Amino acid sequence: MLSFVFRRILSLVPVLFIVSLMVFSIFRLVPGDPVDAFLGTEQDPEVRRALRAEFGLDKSLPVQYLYWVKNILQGNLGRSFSTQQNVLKLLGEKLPNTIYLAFSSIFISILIAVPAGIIAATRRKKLEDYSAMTFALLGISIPGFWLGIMFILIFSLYLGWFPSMGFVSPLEDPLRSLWYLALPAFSLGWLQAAILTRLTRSSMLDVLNREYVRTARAQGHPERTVIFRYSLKNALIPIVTIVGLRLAALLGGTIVIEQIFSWPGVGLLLLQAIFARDYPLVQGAVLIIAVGFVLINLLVDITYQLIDPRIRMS
Amino acid sequence: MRSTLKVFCLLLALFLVMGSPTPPQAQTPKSGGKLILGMRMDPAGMDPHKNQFSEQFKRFSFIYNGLLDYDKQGHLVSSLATSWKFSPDQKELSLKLRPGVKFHNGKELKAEDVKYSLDRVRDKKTASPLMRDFSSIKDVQVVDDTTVRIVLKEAYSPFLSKLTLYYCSIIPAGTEATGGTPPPGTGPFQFVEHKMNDYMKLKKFPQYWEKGLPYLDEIIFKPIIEDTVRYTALRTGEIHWANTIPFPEVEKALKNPPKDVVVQEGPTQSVFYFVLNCTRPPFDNSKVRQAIALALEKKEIVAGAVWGRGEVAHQAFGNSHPYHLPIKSQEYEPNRARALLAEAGYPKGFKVILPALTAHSLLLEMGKIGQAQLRKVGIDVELQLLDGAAFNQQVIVKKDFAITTMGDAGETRNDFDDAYYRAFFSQSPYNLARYSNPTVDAWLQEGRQTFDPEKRKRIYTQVVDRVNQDAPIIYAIIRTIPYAWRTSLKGWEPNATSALCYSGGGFSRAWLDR
Repeated sequence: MLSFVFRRILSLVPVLFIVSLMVFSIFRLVPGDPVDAFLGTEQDPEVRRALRAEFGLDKSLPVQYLYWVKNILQGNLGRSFSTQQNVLKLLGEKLPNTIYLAFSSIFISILIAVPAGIIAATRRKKLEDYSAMTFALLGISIPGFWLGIMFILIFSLYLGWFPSMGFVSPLEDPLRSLWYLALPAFSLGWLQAAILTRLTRSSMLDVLNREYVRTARAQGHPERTVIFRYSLKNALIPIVTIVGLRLAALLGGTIVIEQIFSWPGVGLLLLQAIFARDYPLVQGAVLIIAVGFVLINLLVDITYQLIDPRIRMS
Repeated sequence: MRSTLKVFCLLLALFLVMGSPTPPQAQTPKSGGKLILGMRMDPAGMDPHKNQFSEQFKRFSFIYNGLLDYDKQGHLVSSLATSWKFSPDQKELSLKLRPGVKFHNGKELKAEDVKYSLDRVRDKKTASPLMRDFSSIKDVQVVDDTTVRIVLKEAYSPFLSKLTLYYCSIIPAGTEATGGTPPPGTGPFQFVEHKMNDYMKLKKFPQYWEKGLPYLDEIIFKPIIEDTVRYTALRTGEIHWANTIPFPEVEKALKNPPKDVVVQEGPTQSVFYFVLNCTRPPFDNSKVRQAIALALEKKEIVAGAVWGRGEVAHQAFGNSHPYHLPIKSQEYEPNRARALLAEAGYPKGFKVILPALTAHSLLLEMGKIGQAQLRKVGIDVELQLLDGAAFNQQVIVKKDFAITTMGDAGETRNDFDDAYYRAFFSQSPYNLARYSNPTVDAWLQEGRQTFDPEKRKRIYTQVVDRVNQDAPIIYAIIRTIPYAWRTSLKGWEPNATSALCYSGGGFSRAWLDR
């Protein structure tokens, strides 16, 4: 197990190298550079030259890349062009907020989706099944920004239950933090729950039709044991895979919900950095997200083994 | 008889009480409190000499002062300089500084700080977008601790406007922004903390030079990108003030404001216009440009792009601005437009691409409405959607476009010269239309050398009338800003400048009725 974890962490090196090369080159192919973005309509040629030198853009691309990689190896992701702040410090400030939101929304989605999926599968073609599938269809079809705004109007403006926007750190005030987390986490969780409900249902249906489930029923096991002990555990593998993938995607992709709820996360920061063509910040954020992706996949692999001992870490 | 008299006296008293106008209840400002402002974004960058986008300028106006400032109506008034005088040849300007002004770091304002600040903005190494605005300066000299002399290369009448806060905040000599911390200023509030995309916190500066001000203890800038969410946060009382509310809501909110909320439109001088590239066929033909000007129905553009919250523009300054000129307006005449197109050799119209900035919904809407209106005279406009950096590179740097939509924020245009020399002087790097007319160039130069306000008005009236005929730029909208605030916020009202703190008003005089 340990050697597996070690090998997977070691595999980060080539992954990060390829990611660094790709993000560096692809982002430079996009029209417009940091100076174009920074100066707005005041594109004075002299100021442009001075700014290009300040940002190090007057050097050749290979030199810029090598300089960046050298700094990374020294633990320095550089200084953001637009905010003039240290990229690592900035990401260190925003990433925990995104992780907090992503994990909470995934947690909510599991709370909703797994029971809903099980009920839908066990009560197939009954009212419960149709209700769960309607919910899932709605969740998949409703755009995130619309759902977020509806939640704000209903739960904040009309009912006054939750704040419409903002963020409080759980380390500062845990209870207030949950109050601020509720709407963005539910908006995001609803969307994830919709996908997971469908998946749980289909996975459960597949398992419920297996012979060993029929055998378990024939042996007279109570229905609860049949579902939770024999069926759910076997149906969990694809669910865990999707949960892992969704979680990894959320680390870099809660942009819409972060923007609507003014949630100071890494998604919003990344979006602003892309518009500002803030090379160091975008490159740094993508690298950190890539590390997160690999680590979450590692976590998923370890979970596989816990669910199904037949899966060996090799 | 006595009872009749009694009744009469009672009725008279009642009439007097009900009929006479109620004297305004002058409320005494209360000190203290934390004010939360809902802003449209959290712009990065803390250097007041480098970061002057509109939202940054609004925040900086709490922290810094310029040598001069604008009052509520947009007139030039004193700020850190109490008096100023030009030499007879108009090439030297002496400014007397306000005594006893303290920076947030405790240092007293001296002439060396003014020299440092002006030299820093115009230094190439600073790479300030405003560097060119100070290209008229030859030298900045310290006469004594409270007197500064600015030597100009030549007489330059708009120069005083360059000494206002937008162009040059005065900071202590030797300081600059470090990481996420701005340098100290002399404004009513001092910087405390900034958490990107979360909040920026300022606190009252007790040694502020306007005695007794500010009233508020703390200011929080809260970036709320979505207009709807910002307006909701105001209605739920999570913020006290909102910088713009959604345009579709304005009319309803003005007539019937939500509970405990005041909604008011503020004048801005933000102007939005079409730019036609005079070097790019078919717009190198002035008849085609004139045809475009006649084919655009500006009233419809104002109604569609800003839901009628603004005025039709034929020049860079709105009706209420001191620089509004008595010019001839451009009328909507589609039949004449068609005739002109036929005369220019395009009887069936032509096809053209319009690069549009997606980040600015107003410019995009203007592009879409223009597209529909020009189709009526046979011109097929295809929109090319670009984000800010790509748009700036293609349109502003490379000038690779035929027609586009653009806008200028009010604070960037404080004089005729800012609006018209920039846009129409043939050698100006900001002449996007690449318009070149020696007569207009001569008038624009004359305007720069003329100090008599009436004479200047006459010169620029000629300029605008001529460029409206030549149509390198077609002004369309001067928009207003719909502000909204809680009724508990007192002493603040919209003003003609974009600054939120300014001489004689703004948040330095605002207070919370708690």
